[in-house]
Amino acid sequence: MMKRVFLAVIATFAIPVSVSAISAEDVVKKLEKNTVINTAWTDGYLIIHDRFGTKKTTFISHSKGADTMLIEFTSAEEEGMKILRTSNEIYLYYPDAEELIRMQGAALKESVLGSDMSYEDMTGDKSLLQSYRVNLEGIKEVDGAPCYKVSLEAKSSDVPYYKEIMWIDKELFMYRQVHKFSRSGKLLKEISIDDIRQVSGKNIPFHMVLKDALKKNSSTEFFINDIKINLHLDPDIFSLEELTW
Amino acid sequence: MLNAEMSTSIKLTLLNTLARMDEDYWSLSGLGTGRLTFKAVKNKNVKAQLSLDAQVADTAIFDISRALIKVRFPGFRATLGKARVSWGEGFFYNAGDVIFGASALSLDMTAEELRDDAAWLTSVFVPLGTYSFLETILLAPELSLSELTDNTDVLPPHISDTQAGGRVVTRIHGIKTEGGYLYGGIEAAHKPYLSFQGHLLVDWHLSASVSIPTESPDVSVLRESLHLSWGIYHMQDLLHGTSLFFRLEGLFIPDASWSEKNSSTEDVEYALMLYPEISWSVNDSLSLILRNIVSPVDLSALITAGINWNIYEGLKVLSFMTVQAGETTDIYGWNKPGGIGVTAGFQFTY
Repeated sequence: MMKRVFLAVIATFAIPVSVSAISAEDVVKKLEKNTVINTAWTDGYLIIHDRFGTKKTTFISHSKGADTMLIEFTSAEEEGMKILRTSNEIYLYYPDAEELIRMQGAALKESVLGSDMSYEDMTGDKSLLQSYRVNLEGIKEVDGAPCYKVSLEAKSSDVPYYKEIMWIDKELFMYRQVHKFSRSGKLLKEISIDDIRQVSGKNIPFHMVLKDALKKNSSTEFFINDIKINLHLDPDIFSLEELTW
Repeated sequence: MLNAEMSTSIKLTLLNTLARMDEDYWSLSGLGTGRLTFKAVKNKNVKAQLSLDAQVADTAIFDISRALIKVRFPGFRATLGKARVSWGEGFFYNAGDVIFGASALSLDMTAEELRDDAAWLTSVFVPLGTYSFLETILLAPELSLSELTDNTDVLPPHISDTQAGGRVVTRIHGIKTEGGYLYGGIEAAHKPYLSFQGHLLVDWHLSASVSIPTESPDVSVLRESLHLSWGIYHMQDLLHGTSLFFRLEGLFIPDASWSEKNSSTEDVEYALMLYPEISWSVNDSLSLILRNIVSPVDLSALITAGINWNIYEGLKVLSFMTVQAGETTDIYGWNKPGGIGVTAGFQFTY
């Protein structure tokens, strides 16, 4: 009998103990360790939904670390259009016009190809812990998976979103859901991930839905067809030369 | 196998246009334009493109707008053929564009890109780091095949008609900086230019160029040929995910005319021209656009207002109304042919 009571007490305190056993900083560090990939080649597509229907855009991307990426769109309407994102710059290249555009200031708020993602969403060279104060708010289930609920509040104004709440899978250390807010507390973006697969020891989201909360009847789905990680990439691939090739 | 390495795309624009040609005559006509593009895409070190343009009415006029091969060698790459080249900064006015001119040549104010000119060129592109490169260019005059075949006395272009030059693009203290030079063979002129692009509250760009005759150059020619262009661009988020985009560009030619002239009897170049544009992105598929070319000296303007509706994947519904505001002697005039016009149709890319 005493043994049962003891087990019940242990069980009662199990969740709080497990929450306090890991700090918000540790959760975010483990998340970044999983999500930041040395190098990757990705073949994927976007499906943009709005009130008039859907639009599919295919792409191939090369990425290095958390802040360096070259995306080339391959679908007919956007074919050859490229985006180069480096630690502190975003450039666009339109092949028909042979035009090289540096995205700055307000232009970063523009939507990428009419999707729910803005160029600003691609920026940010610092780690989350450098940019945000983090707080662990408990454990919640998202789609049946136990997740750490972590709130983030900006330390300075140089981030696109003042506040974020992340639901981070306890086992996989990958977002299941993210809500992004303005300084006034208005919900701006929602991200949800429902297909996480392990590739070369990393948990990779193969399907993600991004919603711009300010738009009605709009969402963008990101699908990965194929991904190769930790492959050798020529550093020159992330340059204006490659962008304009 | 070869087909698998080629991508094909077609952009078809079909429009009906209602236009007033004079007080008693209104025109209603249909015109289609198409661009068929073949691209070689799979070869890592060689790219090629052939684009055929057609204007289709009762008959068709064909043009080859792009025909180029790009080859990547260790340390540099070369482009040969009829290709687009974009020097300087500016959506409509760009004094740094010493190749095609400071004003966009396109009269189609409904086009997504107002600068789409291509030239027969040989260029070498040398990367100088992540954000910097050097480009040299040789613009050999295009052969007029029709004249050569029709008339045996016609000679191919003289070597002195060639244009050649180069540019360096880099980033200095966060400002995209571009400097270049073109020798203009037909005009026998040296054309240096500088362009800058940055962000300070709004996105901005600034370009300047001069054209110095090779024979008997004089200091005064610097002022006479100086072209300055500038532009600002800003986007303002509005409620419910809508956005307003503002663009204002200007072309300043200090030595051009500051007083009104009769544009119906002489070529007129005024000291100041403006290009204001406002577009309202109602959502990601629907935009309302107001584009104007304003001549402050004679107080005339070309005003284009329209709708660009990306209704289905690849399909756009285009509808524009163009009005020329001004007198008959102004650059733009209500009584000029096309003083008012309405254009509507579809554009489909597949």
